[in-house]
Amino acid sequence: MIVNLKICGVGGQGVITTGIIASEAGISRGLNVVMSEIHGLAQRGGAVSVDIRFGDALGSMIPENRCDILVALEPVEALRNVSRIKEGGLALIGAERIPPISLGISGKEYPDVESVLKENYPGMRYLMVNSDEIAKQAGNPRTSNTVILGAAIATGVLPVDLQDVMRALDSRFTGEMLESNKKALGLGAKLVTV
Amino acid sequence: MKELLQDSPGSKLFLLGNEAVARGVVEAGVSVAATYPGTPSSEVGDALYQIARESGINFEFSVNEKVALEIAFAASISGLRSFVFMKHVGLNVASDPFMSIAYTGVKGGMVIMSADDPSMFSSQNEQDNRNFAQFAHIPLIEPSNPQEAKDFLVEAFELSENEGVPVLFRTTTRVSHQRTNVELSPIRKTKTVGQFEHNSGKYVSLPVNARGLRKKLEDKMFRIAVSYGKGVLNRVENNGTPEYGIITSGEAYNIVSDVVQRNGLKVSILKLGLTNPLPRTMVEEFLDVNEKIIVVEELDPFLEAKVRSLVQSTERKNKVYGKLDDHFPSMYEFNYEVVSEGLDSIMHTNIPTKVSFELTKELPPRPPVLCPGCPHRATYYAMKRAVKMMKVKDPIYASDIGCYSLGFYEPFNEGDTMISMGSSEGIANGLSKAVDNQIISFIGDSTFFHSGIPPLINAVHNGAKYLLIVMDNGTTAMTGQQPNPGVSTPGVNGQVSIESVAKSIGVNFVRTVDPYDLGTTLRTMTDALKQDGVSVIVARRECAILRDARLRAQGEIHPYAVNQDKCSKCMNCVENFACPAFFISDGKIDINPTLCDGCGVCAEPYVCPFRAIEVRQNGS
Repeated sequence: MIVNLKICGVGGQGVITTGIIASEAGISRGLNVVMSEIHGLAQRGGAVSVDIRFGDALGSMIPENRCDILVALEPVEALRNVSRIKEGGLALIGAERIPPISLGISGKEYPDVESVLKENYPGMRYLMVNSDEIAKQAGNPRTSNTVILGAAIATGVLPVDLQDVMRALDSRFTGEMLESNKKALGLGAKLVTV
Repeated sequence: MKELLQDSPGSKLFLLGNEAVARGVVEAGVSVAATYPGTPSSEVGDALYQIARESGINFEFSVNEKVALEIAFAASISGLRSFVFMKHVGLNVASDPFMSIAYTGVKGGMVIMSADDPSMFSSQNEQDNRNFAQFAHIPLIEPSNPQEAKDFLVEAFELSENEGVPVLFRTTTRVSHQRTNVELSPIRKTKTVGQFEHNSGKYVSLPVNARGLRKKLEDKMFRIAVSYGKGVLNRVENNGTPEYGIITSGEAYNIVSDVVQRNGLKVSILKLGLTNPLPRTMVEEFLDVNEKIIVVEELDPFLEAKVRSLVQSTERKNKVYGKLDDHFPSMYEFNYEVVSEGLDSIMHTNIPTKVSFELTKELPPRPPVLCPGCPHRATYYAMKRAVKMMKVKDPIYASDIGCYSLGFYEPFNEGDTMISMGSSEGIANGLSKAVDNQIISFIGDSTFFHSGIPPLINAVHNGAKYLLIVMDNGTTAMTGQQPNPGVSTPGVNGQVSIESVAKSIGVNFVRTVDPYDLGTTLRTMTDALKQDGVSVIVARRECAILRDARLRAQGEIHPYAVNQDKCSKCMNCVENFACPAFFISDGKIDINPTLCDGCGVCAEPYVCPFRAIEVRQNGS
């Protein structure tokens, strides 16, 4: 049994950190986890994604159309990766836009992500999350990635629960960062009722 | 990273492949390690840098890969275990000593790691460095995952020390940047001081010595080929009653395994960790029991060619499938789909093919960009303006390897050439002979030290004419902020002055500017464009990532905003300065306060002549 999670966003949003936390949650539960990441050339502002496979996979990259759940920290990045999702899969999308500078230079408009999704993948289940707003409620705007992760965990698709993620947060953060991340995780989880 | 030092065999750590390599260095009892940073190998150095002092490993970021390799070699012939690592193209730089130390051999185990980059995620080519092992006639070891990255590295040191030969250890991006649980093994104690024995010519590759050493090398390689079979490095896996035998290595093995498991394919898999020399006895046994052989490997048909030769030279009847008969591609990294299609084209097992979705909407690209606050943006902006002010007709921009390679993109378009470390200057020397255009070279501080100095000497000596901009951000930024000779760490590293180097070579026009000060930068550039011969401007300003970390810790980042009353929407800031913090919403230009790092360069009248960009007031 393999469950595939893809996390994507823009360099600087915490894509890799979110991936490590999700993976360590799986590890703390005794699961086999393989995570694949690409470094370099996108320290800030470039498109970034990581693949995480829970279960007995050896290859670190998720095969096409086998992603069970996509966590997108930015709407256009969700569209860039949405074709990886398997039929019946899910997408949790951070609503806050980071318009690529290429739009400014070309004078083009930021796409209407929801209508593109509806047109191309009718019936696909997705949730837009006002993660920046909720992160502020959690006390730290830099926790919006944890908000979306919380929502993803609450879907029950991943073989890890909130307690596992809490343990992973415990081992990575301290003080205010730990508190706000835990709060963000909880607030994110409340957005989804299964 | 301190957890990499824990002496608790059997416990597990969730490690990146490159961190597992660093742990392997610890477990193998390596005394001396050196590198020049390069993705996808960089995190090995980051980890060793953090644990070096405590572990007793003498680790350094060397000026370039050639020097790093010679350092490791010297340690090895002094009886110490040594490790040198680099990205694949780094081995090109180190290839001169690399080819010769194969002959001289080594004493303490010496392993050279090359991190290859199939699909070129962060590289200029995807050369398959397994060929280097064959070229130099030395053993080659390929791990498939972080656990093997650690365990095989320890094994590589054993092999190197037992046979007295350097070993090439080859990872790829997907192995170096894969994260899994890794089980720890005991740590071998590190020797801190070696002993150099004067060894009548063994390490002097004069022709008279080299001829004898050549023969000895061949003897060692023959011995390894016939004696290294099953063990830690190589193994056979059987699935059902095999109809085909698959020979594979590295990342290709992981994907083959997944395809085989998922589709219940009946195959026998020979997974090779030692891929040069081919472990001959073991492969022959595999050929004897599997008539039909499929070789699955990324990039060049390296194993396939060896297997085909072995079949032919031993007059076997096996049928061999692979790249040479077009079942698998010889370029780009493999994935599940490529391996499935390849296996299906041979085995006709009806592996389900992929279902492809195409979006009807074209997405705005998000190529890597210079960070908000990056001093290189200011330098490129000023250079473009200076060229315009001086009415320079059709300048040629020779760029180099680093974050500033991104100057190639819109709106700067300041990159006509970029091929290898230091090539901005080598090419400028050549262009200055070939054409009459003004030539402007860009090189980073780390790249300047790495290979920018000899071409500058050449320029002075042979009378080349170009303007060299040394973009000095005080770090090796693109690979993750490693130190370089321009940076001083008190008590640890001495500092080398770029200006002093340039002046001592004989460059007459050497100036230093702060690119955040656009006015002075512009004036200095226009002055430089009037010079004859080679001139140098050092554009010095701390890397924005380092600056942000420093300022954020002090709570000192004050983002800017656009005062809409003053903004004329001339678009100069967006179109020509192009900081990613700018965005347009409802026809208005504004600045994203979480991206803006308050460098303030866009507020200068050279960028915003209407002075509409101001420090953001709370709540605005």
